[in-house]
Parts: sequence; structure tokens; C-alpha cells
Amino acid sequence: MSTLCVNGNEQPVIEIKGLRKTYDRKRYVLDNLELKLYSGDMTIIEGKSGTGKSTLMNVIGLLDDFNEGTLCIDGIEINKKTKRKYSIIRAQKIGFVFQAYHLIEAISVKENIMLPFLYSNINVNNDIKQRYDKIVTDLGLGELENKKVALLSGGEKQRVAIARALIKDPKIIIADEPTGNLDMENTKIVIDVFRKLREMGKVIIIVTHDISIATSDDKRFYLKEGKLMLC
Amino acid sequence: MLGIKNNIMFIRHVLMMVFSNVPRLILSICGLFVGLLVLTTGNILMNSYYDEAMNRACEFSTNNISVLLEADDEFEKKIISDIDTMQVELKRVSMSSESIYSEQYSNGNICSLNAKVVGTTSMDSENVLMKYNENTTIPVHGNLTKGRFINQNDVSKKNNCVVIDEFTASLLFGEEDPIGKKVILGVGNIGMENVSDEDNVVDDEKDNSFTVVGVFDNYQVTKSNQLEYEKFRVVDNGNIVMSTYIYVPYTALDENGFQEDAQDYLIWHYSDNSGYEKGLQVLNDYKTVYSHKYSKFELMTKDDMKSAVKKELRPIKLFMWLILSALLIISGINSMNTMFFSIKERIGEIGIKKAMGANATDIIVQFLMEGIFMAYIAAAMSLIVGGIVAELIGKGIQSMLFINFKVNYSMETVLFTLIVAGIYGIVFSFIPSYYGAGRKVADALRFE
Repeated sequence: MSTLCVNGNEQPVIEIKGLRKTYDRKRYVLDNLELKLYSGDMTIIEGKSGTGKSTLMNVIGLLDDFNEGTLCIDGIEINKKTKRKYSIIRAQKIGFVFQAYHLIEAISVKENIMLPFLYSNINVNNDIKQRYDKIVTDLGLGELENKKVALLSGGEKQRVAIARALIKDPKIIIADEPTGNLDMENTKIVIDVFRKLREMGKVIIIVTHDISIATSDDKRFYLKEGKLMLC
Repeated sequence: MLGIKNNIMFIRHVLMMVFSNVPRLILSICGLFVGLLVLTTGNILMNSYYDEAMNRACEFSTNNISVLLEADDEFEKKIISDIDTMQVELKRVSMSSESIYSEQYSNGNICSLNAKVVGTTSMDSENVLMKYNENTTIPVHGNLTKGRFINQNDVSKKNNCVVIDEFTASLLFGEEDPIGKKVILGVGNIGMENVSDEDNVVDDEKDNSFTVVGVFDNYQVTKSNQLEYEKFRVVDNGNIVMSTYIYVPYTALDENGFQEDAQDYLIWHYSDNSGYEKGLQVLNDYKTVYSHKYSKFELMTKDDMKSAVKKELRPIKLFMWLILSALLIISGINSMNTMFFSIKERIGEIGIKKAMGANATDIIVQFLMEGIFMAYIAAAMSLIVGGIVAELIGKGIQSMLFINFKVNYSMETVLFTLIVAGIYGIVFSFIPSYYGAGRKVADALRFE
């Protein structure tokens, strides 16, 4: 069992104890995982392909179930009773950036970024419009707003996916290879955005092979044989 | 519940997703369109047939009561005096028809026109009476187009005058003004158009010539005979015998011995409801007391005729509805299949939306809305195309089968199609939507 606690006294935003996940009941992809993440943590998770990084992201992001253990997101224990609230928790607290972007190609950049509000009780008011303008400006998407996503390059799509993850100002941001298709300049822009968010107290979890984006302030973990090891 | 702005965003998003893939939209609408087209066309034709039958049977003023009676004159007088002598009209209809016209065409086929002679008291009102069952027809008259109707003077003087319909006038007299011309009953041998002849089988003791004093328009009878006549001229299908009604003073009928096997109809015309209600009450009482004594004592109001027609048409309507429903279900299952494939193609999109916070209900609502929207597009198309198809079928029936068939459109048909489209859209989208909404998020995202 690997026990990794980061920061001491405050309540963790994400707390995992003894988490186990299997697809076929023969091999555990995640095996007795323990993790605590606090506000302002930027956590980099590395590992070879097929070691379960995406599975861990999916479990933390409530996109997939786990078989054993406990998971708490912002004080809410995740179990069968709270399963109905997964969508609400995702909507309110978690922003996703996927490796394959997972954008809706048929609609415009703006529609994709604003998609989370379709399933939210939050009315799109001036504050949100201002937030939208800022995110679009910071990520250099101003000229692409009304363009159909299908017409964008990989790097542009990645920035749209990041904008979508940030638009609802979530507490937790889970990013799977967020800079995978970006050039150096855009990689810097994206990482700068994440760092600003960290300073604002967000919890950032990044799965990446690009170790150059990590700094000494970040927590780096290596996933191997279902277990997280501190780098 | 989403805020209003979010609801508007959601609806806008649904519409964008519907139109985002045009081939998929067309395929989905096609299945819905076929079912709704069959429903709309079938509904229009069925309602038209129904309206036609109702019109034929029920061109009957609301405040008329008709009594078919086989009784002696004393009894008739008693009833009339008990109810209302002012509003009553007597019609004496001979059960046999008199031939009034005959024509031999170039191919040797013969066209004849026979008339049921209706002896009447004065025809002051312009009511049209026809019972749906042709075995007991009630004489018909309609709107006057030339001359006058039979009046009290004709009745009291037993004038040999006659009122005929427009088709009869055109057949007998062509373009000439029929007023003042003679119609001869009981003639009609080949080549003897309306002319008395020694070789005719005409009873010399009867004065069988009647002077035309008026012409009326009765759409149903005129149209039927026109079509019959056209068919005779166009299709080599043998001899035809058409029938119509002509009106003479009933005293003239009696005088000339044409009433041997006549049936009497007493018709009360009321201008107000209170008189009508009172008269109806008295007649119902009479029927209760005397119907066992006389072989015929039938009471007819507009409601009675409508009920008789509805009863006769019910099996036809039911049969047609069974066929339409079966076709609708088959078409719906086809639409459901198309929807299934469409949703399977969009599993990735479902995963993305669930990752963004959508729950299963949101997904179901989205796809149901898409299904309903597509159903309404199909409904609008089916109303337009269905109307055109029904019109063509109606014209085909008239021109090829020489049957009078007028296509009627009503708001009822439109509303019915729209309601069925809505239900159709919901029912046949629900299962595919439910399937789509049940996908696990991680699996759905992997699908993309």
C-alpha cells in the first residue's frame, strides 16, 4: 500500500483511501491507492502507457466506478448512495481536459466552451460573460469563436478543450496530456494558465509524459503496477 | 430546473444538433414522413367520404321533423291538426319511377332518365331531404335557380306543373329555357324524347304532360347524374338508367292516377326551437301509441339521420383505422431503428455531455426533443403532400370511376396529424434515447 499525504493540516479536496479498480477481477489496474490533494496543489502523474493513468483520472473525475476503497471529493464521500449526484458533482466541481479533446465537432468553439452551462442551474450572466472573454483572450481563441471545431487544428482544439474545462471555475481540474499537441509557445501559455489557477487555490491533476512542465513546487507521482509512487 | 436562458440555450443546442448532419436528418424524417403521409391522406379521404355520406343523408334543416307514414287520410289529418297545420308540408312519393327521357347513342347503347314523381303541397322552404338508406328515400329539393316552386294555387287548382332539377333540364332541353316546356311522364322509348306517341305505352286516361314552372339546383343528384352521363358517353359499358326527382302538386298526381303505390311524408318546418321541441314531443307520443297499428310510422330528425349514417359508416371507419394504425406502427418501428443507429453514432457526444454534467434525464430529453422536432417537420411535409395526394385520388375517383367524390380539408385533420406526430416522435424516440442515456461515461468517451 502506498500512502502519500501532501500538506498537513487543512481538509483535503480529494482524498483517496485503499482504492482498487479492476476491469476483469483478475488484475487490479489501481491497487490500494491512497492520495490526498489540497487546494493549490498541482499534481503531475507520470507512467508508461497502459499503467492506469487514464483510469485513475476517470475514477477521480467520477467518469468511472471503483471496486473498493473510499473516495472523497470536497468532503462528499463517493459511494453507491451518492452515485446519482455524480453528474452534479462533475458539473459543479470538476473540469476535464481529455487527451482526445472530446469536443463536439458540429458546433462552434463558443458553443463548445459554453457547453457545461447547458446542464447547470447557473444563469449565463455578465460575470460569466466576462470570465468567458478572459479565458478566450488568455488562450488566444478570440478569432476562432464562431468557427466550427471540425475546422480547427489539433493545438487549437486542445485550447478549446482547456477553455471548456475552465469556464465554470471548477475546484478541480483534471487534464490528460493537455500540452500533447501544442508547440512550445502554446504549451507555455497553457501551463501559465494552470499555474495561475493553482495560485487561486484550484487542485490541478495533470497526466503527462512531458516532465519539463513540472516545477519544484509541483507534486510528481509515478504510477506503476497500480500503485502511486512519489518521484 | 434550468434557468430560462439555459432552457433557451438548450433548445437552440438541440436544433443545432438536429441540423448538424443533413443526411442523418433526411433519413430520420423519411421514415416518419411515410407513416404520417399515409395517416394524413387516409384521414382526409376517410373524412371526405364520411362528410359526403353525411351530406347526402343530412342535408336536412335542423328544425325539420319528417314522418314517413302509411295510414289513411283521416289519421294524417288528425296528426296535422294536433301538431301544427301551418308548418306542415305533405310529400306523396310514388314508389315506381316514370321514364321521362331516353337517348340512343351511336354505339347502340341507351341512356334513360327515370324520375320519382313527388307530389307535394307548396314548396315554400328550400330544405333538402334525403335519407341515407336508398330503399326509403325521401324526395329532394334544393335551391331555386329559375322560375318558381309549386305553390298553394297549383295545389288547389290541381295544375299539371312540374319543378325539375338542373341536370334534367339540361338533358331534356339543352341550352333552351325550360320554363314553359313540357315534361311527359311514362315516355322514353328509343328515339321518342319527351314526345307523346300512339305507339308509346302511355295510358290515354292519364294526362301525363306537365309544364315546367321551376328549376332547382341539387348538388348531390345533379353531380351524380352528370358523372353517370359522362361515363355513358365516354365508356362503352352498355345501357344506363339514371334517376332523379321531379315535383308536382300532389292533387295533380291524384287527379292523374299516379299515386297508386305512393308513400306519404309529412314534414314540419319550424323557424323556432320551442315549436320544434313541442312538435317533436307530440310526434314521439303518437309514435309510441300508434306505431304498432300502422306498418310504417317513422320519425326522422336531423339527429336521427346523422345517427343512421354514423352507424352505417362505423365499420368502414374502424376498418380503415386498423389499417392506418398498422401502417403507422410499421413506419414507427422503422423510424425507431434509424434513431437507434443515429444515437449509437453519437455515443461519444453523450459521453462528452455527461462529463460536462449532463445526467441521464438530460440526455433523454435532448433526444426526445430531436425526435419530436423531426416528427413535426415530417408532419408539415405530410400535410402538404397528403393534401395533394388526396386531391389527386379524389379526381381520379371522379374521372375513372365516375363516382362523385369531393375532397374536404379540415382543421381537425391538421390538428390530428400534429398530435399524432408529437406522440409518434415521443414513442419511437424513447427507447433509443433511453439506451443512449444509459451508457457509462468512460465507455461512451472511449467509443468516440
